[in-house]
Amino acid sequence: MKLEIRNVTKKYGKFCAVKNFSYEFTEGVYGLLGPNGAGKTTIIRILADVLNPTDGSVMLNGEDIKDMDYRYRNLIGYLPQDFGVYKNFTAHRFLMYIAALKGLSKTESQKRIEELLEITNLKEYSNVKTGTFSGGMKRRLGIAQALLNDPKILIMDEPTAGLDPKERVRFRNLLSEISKDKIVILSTHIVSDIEYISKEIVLIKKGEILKTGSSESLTNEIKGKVWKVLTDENGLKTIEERFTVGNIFRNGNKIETRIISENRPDDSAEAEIPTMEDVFLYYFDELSE
Amino acid sequence: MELLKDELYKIFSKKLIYAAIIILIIYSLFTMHEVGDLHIVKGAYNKYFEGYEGKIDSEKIERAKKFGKDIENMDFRENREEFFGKSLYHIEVLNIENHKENYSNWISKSEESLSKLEPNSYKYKVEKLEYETLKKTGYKDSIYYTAGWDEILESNSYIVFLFIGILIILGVSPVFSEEYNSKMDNIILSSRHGKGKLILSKITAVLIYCIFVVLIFSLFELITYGTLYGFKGYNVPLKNLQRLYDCTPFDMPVIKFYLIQRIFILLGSFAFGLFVLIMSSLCKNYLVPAFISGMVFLVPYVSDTFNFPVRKIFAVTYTDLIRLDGFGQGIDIINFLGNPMLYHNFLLIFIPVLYAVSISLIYFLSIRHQVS
Repeated sequence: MKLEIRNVTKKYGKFCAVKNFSYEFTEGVYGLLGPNGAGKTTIIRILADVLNPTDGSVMLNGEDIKDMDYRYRNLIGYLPQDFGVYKNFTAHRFLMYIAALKGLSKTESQKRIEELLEITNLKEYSNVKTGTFSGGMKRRLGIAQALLNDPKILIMDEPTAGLDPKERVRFRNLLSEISKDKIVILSTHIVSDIEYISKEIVLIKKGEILKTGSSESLTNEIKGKVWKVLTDENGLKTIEERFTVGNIFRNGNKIETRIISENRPDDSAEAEIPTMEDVFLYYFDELSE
Repeated sequence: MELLKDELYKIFSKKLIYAAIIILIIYSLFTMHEVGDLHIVKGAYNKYFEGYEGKIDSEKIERAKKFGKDIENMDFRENREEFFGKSLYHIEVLNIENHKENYSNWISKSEESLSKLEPNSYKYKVEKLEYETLKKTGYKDSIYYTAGWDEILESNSYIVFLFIGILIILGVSPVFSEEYNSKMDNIILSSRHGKGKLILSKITAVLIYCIFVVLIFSLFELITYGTLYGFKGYNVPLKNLQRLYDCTPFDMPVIKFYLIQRIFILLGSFAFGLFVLIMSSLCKNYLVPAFISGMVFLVPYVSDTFNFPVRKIFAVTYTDLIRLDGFGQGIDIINFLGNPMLYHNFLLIFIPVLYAVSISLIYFLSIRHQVS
């Protein structure tokens, strides 16, 4: 299975959200990583067939998804960044509705919904109206609806927003389990969501691909550019002015800083092993969540 | 089927609809209370009709004429109810006799005009259509007690059409707008049936909702007016109703016409429901389609009431389609592509075309909709 974005551009009036974007996905987990406003959601929406590109196309196994129409949508599961629920629907009724939209039979839906409510820890809320759900519960319900039709292509926009750390871990493990024969595309600005599960990470800035690669190759590329510097209160100000600071740890009078710099910042600086957090900082010059 | 059930649930789970129905029915009962006096008169009328119904003959006419002469010497304060009953009955007898004369005159004049007019001219076609229609239905020749059906057939154009319009606006405005506003459109548009079957389900749900609304108010009319005046006269020819239908083009019993009227109200209601649905598919906030639809519905009504010239711009409005003011009461002719056509026959062509255009537009707008 090959999902291909070919020279996609999306403009909103004069503003260009995505510029001549091309990329190819095959089975596995992909992370679209970039700061807010980078164009990730626009790309995700185009892939989910809810937004038309101004130019370019999306092809699945060589066929334009616009020509495939419902045949393409039948293969996808989509969790939008923002979505509402029908407040007077119970969780079960909501999922039954989405299952009907996805063309699942009643018996098939019942079985699948039971499984997914279990997986997303919502079983005890099955008959509770979604209007009373917290943000995290709505997110889990969103994950459940995306998985209803056992999609071959799973597209998720900021899937862990609102989930607590335990739920994030559960979610990541779930994705790893199901991604064997699927294309899973996650858009996020949270590095930890994709760091350990992505086959490839696509760094996006201002609607364009900045860099692509596995988490290992991306971190390898910035080897020798991450440093640990010990300083005091006076030195910290100078460091903050001169470098991108990733972490500040106070230990008594001493302050341990983790900085990104092309060259060794001073003689006392020690080289550190880069993480994806450092990659984010290096390319986007801002902190990931 | 599952999608349809959920679409219906979305519409029917709105408490606002039930609140509106209760308020409108209470309001209606209050306005009915004002015509309480008329009820007394109708009661007397009903009582006096017993045994005197049927074809108008010379004996009935003579008695009516005699009553007219004796009226000056009667003391109606003594038996007010009997006086009203007798007056209404005898006036009706004389009216029917006059109507018969007018009808004969009109037929003769029409035959004369037809012999003079150019056979292919539009005027000739209009005259011929009127002549043939009236010749077929004949003239009002009998007297029956039909007060209940008079009220039932008229109440729609008096106030009930407004209730139907309001309920359709309240129920249908959120159908698409709410999906957009809650951002459910994200999930819907990415699903297999989100750009196809779902739209059909929404349209079907609107149709069922319109049937529900028309049925609710039809039942309300039947129960209230039936209780007040009774259902007598349901099988008499429409032309013999006491009021307004002397020159009807419908040659059929009252009950059959009532069903036809309901079907036309339903057809009009669904056409308006589709219009509201189009507006809903264009707006994120459901107050906007509600406001626009409200204007489209109320402006022709207000223009009619106050005789504003703007009314003349449109031959048929959504308000007309639901209100059916004057429907079946006379020969109403429309110039359809150079040919005269009876209004109700024209509607049978116009409404399906309106449906086709509206449904195509709903599909077009919904399929093209993108999340923003």
